[in-house]
Amino acid sequence: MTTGQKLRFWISERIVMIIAVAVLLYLFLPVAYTFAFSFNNYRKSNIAWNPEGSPTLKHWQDPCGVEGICESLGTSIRVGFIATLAATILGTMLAFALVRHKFKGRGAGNMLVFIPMATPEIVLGASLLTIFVQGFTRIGLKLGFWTIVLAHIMFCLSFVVVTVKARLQSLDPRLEEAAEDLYADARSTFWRVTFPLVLPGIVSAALLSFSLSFDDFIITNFVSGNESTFPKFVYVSYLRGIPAQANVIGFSMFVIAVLLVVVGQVIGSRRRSPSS
Amino acid sequence: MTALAHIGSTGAGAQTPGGPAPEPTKKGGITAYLLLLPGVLWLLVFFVAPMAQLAAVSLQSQFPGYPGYYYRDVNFGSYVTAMTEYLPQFGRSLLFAGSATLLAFVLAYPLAYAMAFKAGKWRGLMMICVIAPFFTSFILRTIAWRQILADEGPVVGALKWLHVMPSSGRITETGFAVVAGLTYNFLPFMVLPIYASLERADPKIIEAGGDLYANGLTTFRRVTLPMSMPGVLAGTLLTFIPAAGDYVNAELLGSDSTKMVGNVIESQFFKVLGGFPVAAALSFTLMAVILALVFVYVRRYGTEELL
Amino acid sequence: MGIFSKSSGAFRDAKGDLILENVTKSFATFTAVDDLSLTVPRGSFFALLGPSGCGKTTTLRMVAGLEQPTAGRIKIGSTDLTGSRPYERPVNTVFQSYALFPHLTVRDNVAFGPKRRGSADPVGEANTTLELVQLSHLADRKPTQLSGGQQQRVAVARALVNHPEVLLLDEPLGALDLKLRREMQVELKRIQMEVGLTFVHVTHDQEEAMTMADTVAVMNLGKIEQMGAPEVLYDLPRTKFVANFLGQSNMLHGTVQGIDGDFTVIGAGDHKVKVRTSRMAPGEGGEAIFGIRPEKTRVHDEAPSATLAGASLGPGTLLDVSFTGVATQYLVDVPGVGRWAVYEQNLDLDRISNKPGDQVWISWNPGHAFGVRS
Ligand SMILES: Nc1ncnc2c1ncn2[C@@H]1O[C@H](COP(=O)(O)OP(=O)(O)OP(=O)(O)O)[C@@H](O)[C@H]1O
Ligand SMILES: [Mg+2]
Repeated sequence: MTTGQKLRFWISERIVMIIAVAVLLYLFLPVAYTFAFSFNNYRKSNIAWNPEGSPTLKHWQDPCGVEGICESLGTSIRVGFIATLAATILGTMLAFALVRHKFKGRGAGNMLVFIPMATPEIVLGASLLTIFVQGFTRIGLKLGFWTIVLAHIMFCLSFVVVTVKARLQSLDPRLEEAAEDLYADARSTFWRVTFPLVLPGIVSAALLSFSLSFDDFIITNFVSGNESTFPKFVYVSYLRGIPAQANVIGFSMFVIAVLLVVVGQVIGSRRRSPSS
Repeated sequence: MTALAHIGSTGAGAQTPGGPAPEPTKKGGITAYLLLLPGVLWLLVFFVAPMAQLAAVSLQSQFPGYPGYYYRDVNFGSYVTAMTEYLPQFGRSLLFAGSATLLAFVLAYPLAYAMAFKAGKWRGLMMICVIAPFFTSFILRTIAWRQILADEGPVVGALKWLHVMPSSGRITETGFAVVAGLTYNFLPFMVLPIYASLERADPKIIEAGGDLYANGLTTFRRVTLPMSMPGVLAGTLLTFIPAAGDYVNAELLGSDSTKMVGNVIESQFFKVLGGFPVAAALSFTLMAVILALVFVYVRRYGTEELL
Repeated sequence: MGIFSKSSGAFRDAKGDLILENVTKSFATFTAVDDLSLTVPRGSFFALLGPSGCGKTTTLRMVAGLEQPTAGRIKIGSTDLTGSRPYERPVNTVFQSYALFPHLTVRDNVAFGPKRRGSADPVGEANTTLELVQLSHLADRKPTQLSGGQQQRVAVARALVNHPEVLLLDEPLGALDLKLRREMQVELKRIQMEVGLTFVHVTHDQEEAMTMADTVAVMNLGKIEQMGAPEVLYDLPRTKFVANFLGQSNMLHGTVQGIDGDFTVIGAGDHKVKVRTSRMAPGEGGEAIFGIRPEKTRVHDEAPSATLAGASLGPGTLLDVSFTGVATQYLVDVPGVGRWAVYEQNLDLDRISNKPGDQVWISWNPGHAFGVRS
């Protein structure tokens, strides 16, 4: 084999992996940019790199140094938590009903869950805005924190149902029969067998909910009134120039999330391996 | 976000020996309705009712001479305006979203394939890499793309240096930039479901396919691709639908001539006095078109499980 | 023993034989189990044998309470269990796919039953039972980290630990390779002797059923075809299905032509064969099938003497001879009868002079023949 042939063979063996890594780099490129520009000593807007005085740590030392940025971050986190909690509970209940029970209108129920996912966010946002403005204001609901929460619960709900449903459907029903055979009544079968086995699905659903809610801009923009979330803060300040503090916070969220996922996976694999 | 991976799964369940799996469903009963009640109520109040309201708004008429004031009516005028004045934006939305979906598929498949069959111990790490960019706000990442693709940015610079691009050429403010942004933003939604369906596929079956067809490409077309079809289906929907309704990419990366229907809806709602009915009509048309496409698509390529 | 002392009020602490009375199970239009009655004596090893889809699992599920019969009653001793929930029955199941709880360790899997029953020392009971199945060293593993055979033993332990009155095993060895299967058969038999419980063992492996069980019931299309000790079932099948399902049989389809002393004569065309009347399946005249096991027959180069009338056939054409060491198998085509197999022990090596294509006769001891009705 000549060197050229060897090289060709080496590449063809790994071509898929090479493309995959290239795609991953592509996914990370903007993140790297965001990170780099958090050290930019810019003057007016954080678009072009200013070689004078860069890199600087000043934005990292003062992440809340721009008016409203940390408030909006706090709002995003609070909305995310409440919406996730509610959507996970409601969605899990729905998933159980849709998978485990036969009742009239099961098809309609599945449809009702599916259609919001097939509706573009802008349509959801627009419809929610119309009803909030033209209907709910009459009962005293103003656009703001709670309208964001209500809307987020709605669009996270379908994703929770789909995720938990998939997990439930792949659960071997014989496991529950085995529990019943081993003297567990309906209640302990549920809490000792069904629930622990579905839990990973519920946890993924909750994580999905939180990230969808935390990163949502389009629906939030419609229903938020004067309240600001972190994505909205970034979008609104785009015209005036985004402060590098946004890069600091955006990148930190990325690091925190990665750490959480890594820690979660390590704990998960510890649990799975024998303790002896 | 890992949960997205489940969306591609058909939930058919592991095939275990032991004859037909016992039917896990219980007959109706009060429990079913109690479990359903809160969620269904929520969707009725915050999805169905707003949609109905939006439908009503789209049919409203304006008080002549009082912009911004409407009365209840059954007036299809807004739909006519929507479909005549904004047809280009409509077409562009579908075209951009379709292109982005196709591109995302082309990029996502090798990645998902590598994760499922080639990655070995790196699988977990690759999974994290796919999900992680999500946590940097997508608006920040889109703005980063604007910087990367900017006239003074590295991509344009390199292309000009290579003489691939004329010195007056640019990427931002073109349809290409918008499609690139859409592709980028929704790529993970394509990767994860495909990965999930490939992961559940038995590599032995693919090997057997390799024996049967010998040719790698035929194996892919006859065995691998059909097995990942539920994931491809879910992935294309999860990419196409939000892309078709998006306006942030067109706003941040495009120009006036690359506006999509989302931009029109947004500006009719927020920037045009009396624009509500037209915006509502546009929203409805968009949703109807998307639902129609989705249903045709799902019918054509199977998996009722999705519904 | 006091094991069930803390059990819930609904628990039925029944003791005695397992009795199924006219049990029927229908799914929509399909009848999986059809008017089945049987009694399994307390402490016996009972095997339910039948082809795939004949209703074995369904029968077990009804005994376990996972399925309710459409009609009929299920009892242990004098206690009627029909209609009660699985957790109310002193019955445990080793599932066909094991159904081990993937989120629990082996020890917790085994301790699951004792905990639910409110045992004072569930972990201790689990450890004792794990010792019985020789798995103590793997108690802290998760089921997915075990081999098939080990998983199978956990499934047995998880059921046994409850000291049920009846233990149901649904093809527990089906997923194992042949060697492990033989080992586990011995192991299961040892455990059954040791604990002295009633075992109802489902299988479609006839050899497994015959080596392990005190009583074998052959099931087909939702009905019990025949039930009895393995050697009785083999020696004297009562239906054509049993004759073919348990081992192999040479058959002659004909009509009953009369009685000759102790024998009944069955004829088909020019052929006449005889069966001891006491070895004929009950029934009147008409059509009947004559049967004889291949190992009870011999091959001859010449026409047998007249003394063997009714206990021989021929001439036929030898189709195939295969030498297997201990024995030689012949396949003979007898015109008007069909293909018969002959297994001869190789006690006398000179005799393998026959070649395919030769003309041969077959004979047997008439006392070994049996007759079933068609
Ligand atoms: N829930 C059900 N609904 C409809 N038909 C069923 C159901 N459960 C079993 N059956 C049918 O009843 C028949 C008997 O099934 P069963 O599982 O008892 O067979 P089996 O003897 O255990 O077979 P195997 O040896 O393959 O396990 C089969 O034809 C099966 O298709
Ligand atoms: Mg079975």
